[in-house]
Amino acid sequence: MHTSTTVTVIGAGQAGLAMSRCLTERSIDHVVLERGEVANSWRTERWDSLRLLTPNWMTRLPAHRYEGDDPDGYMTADEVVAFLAGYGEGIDAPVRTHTEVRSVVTTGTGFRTTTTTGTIDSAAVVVATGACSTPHVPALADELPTRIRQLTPIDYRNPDALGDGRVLVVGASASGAQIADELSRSGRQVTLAVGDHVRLPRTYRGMDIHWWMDAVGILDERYDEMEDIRRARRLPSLQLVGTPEKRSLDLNALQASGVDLVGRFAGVSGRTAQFSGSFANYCAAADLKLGRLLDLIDAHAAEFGLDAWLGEPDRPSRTTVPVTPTTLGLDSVETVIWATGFRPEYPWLEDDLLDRKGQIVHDGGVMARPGMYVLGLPFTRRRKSSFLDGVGPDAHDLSHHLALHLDEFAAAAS
Amino acid sequence: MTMTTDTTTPAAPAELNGVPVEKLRGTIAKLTAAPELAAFQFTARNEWIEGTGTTSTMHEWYGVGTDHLHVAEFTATADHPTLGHGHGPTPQEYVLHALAACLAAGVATTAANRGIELSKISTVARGKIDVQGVLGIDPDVRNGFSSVEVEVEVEGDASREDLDALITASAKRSAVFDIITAPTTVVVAPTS
Repeated sequence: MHTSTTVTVIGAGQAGLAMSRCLTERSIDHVVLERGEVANSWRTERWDSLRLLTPNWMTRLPAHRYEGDDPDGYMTADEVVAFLAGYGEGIDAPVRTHTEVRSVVTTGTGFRTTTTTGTIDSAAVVVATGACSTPHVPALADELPTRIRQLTPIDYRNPDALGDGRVLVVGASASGAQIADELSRSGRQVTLAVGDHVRLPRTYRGMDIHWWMDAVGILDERYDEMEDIRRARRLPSLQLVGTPEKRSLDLNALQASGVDLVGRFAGVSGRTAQFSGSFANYCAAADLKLGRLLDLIDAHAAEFGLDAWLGEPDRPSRTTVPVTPTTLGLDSVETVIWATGFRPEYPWLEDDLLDRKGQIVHDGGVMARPGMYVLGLPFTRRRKSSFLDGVGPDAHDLSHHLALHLDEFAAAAS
Repeated sequence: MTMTTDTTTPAAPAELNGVPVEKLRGTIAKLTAAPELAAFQFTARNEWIEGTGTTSTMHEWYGVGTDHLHVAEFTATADHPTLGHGHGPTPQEYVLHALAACLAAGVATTAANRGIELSKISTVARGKIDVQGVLGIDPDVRNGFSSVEVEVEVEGDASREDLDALITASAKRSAVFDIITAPTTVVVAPTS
């Protein structure tokens, strides 16, 4: 099947749907290609207990928002799927499901996208395949004994799917901290390898930490205001969990629930895993950054006269740094879970659009080839770019840029 | 500095290769009987000169149950090769020096303990480092050496095989070799 359209959008998650809505608003003809169903990652690649890290009220997409009766709760993965599927239907997004992209090639007049269901010619292409579909697993994984079962957060479902033996969870950001916590509560012995992490309390002075970050304007910080955008883009995910009881999931909580903490997973020597001795430094850095954020919040509260109706500053205590072993005998480990982040892969894009590490080169979502855009990646244009709540403003900005490009394109052709 | 625990070898002269063999064996016997005396502590005190240049002074140390002082306040000065003012080699090179020194000392003591007289120990330690790590260019690149290679040339009154065996034995019992190859808990904090 061969078709022509004005814009090809790749991916029907929050980013692709938000872009679709913005294009429809501008009466720009387009098609949204989806490898599975709408919100595919949320349907097939998330563990059972996962909930959004942002509260329900913070679920705003172009022309759509959460209107349920639990604005302060956190959506389950199934609820996110229903929310996005409902959004897709509501905005009448032209989604072509079960269509996997094989290649996007620049032609004389635009782009030709080859898929498993046919080719599509278009004047512009928007990459909206998301940030969290390809787990990054360090090369170290190859050195583990073959007896050990290795999983990533997209394969992991629940504790019952694992054996009873010790689990080594590598990475203490949202995924790793949540999975380690859940496995420890299931009665398993869990070791959590901790490197660079971003510590946050779930609530501060009675308000959700995301309410604060939204209020003080951190989430709206722009990519072109950052001193070092590369560093900002590779910041680990927030060490948070969304639960009805709004509990914090920091290293103190994990220690209290029986998780054994070690430093960053540094190497394998024979049948021994080695961990960096830098654990205390990572904790000190995380505590320092948390303190700065809470200072900013307190200053904001004082400036806007909020102190009277807010709770007392309930600062979390410093991270308790236990004497952590720097080795772990691998004979005792049954499963290793690599919660070491995600790194998208784009084998279907032309090489000159990617940097030497295979990541898309872009300036606030505008790619190196006129007419190509990307959104939904960490800090694409704003700190909240990769959040469900944050991709909308980026879609607005980039659809505007795209419309101007189409005008130029049309002027050049006539 | 390397300590050997190889006590099965035959009697040797009181001193060989400049190593006081009897004293070494006496120390091993003493610490074997009282392991609490084996807790040592070394200290380097570092003062900034300017830019990237600093000098460490190493004087006091603790061991065998009591405080000691080196015979002098030994110093070592380090600097950066391009950003610095030429005060000294880089800290990384001191690590290579420490490794070479430790391995050579281990070869000398092991040889003495085994009754092998040495005429030469020449060691070259090379460290490869990708500075994209320390410069923060690529977070996937580690800050430290990606690899270290050490060549040790040993000459003495023993077979090639026995001389080569000294190198293996030295690496096996080397403090600095262990410091570099195995992880160590390091806490860096403001002076309280």
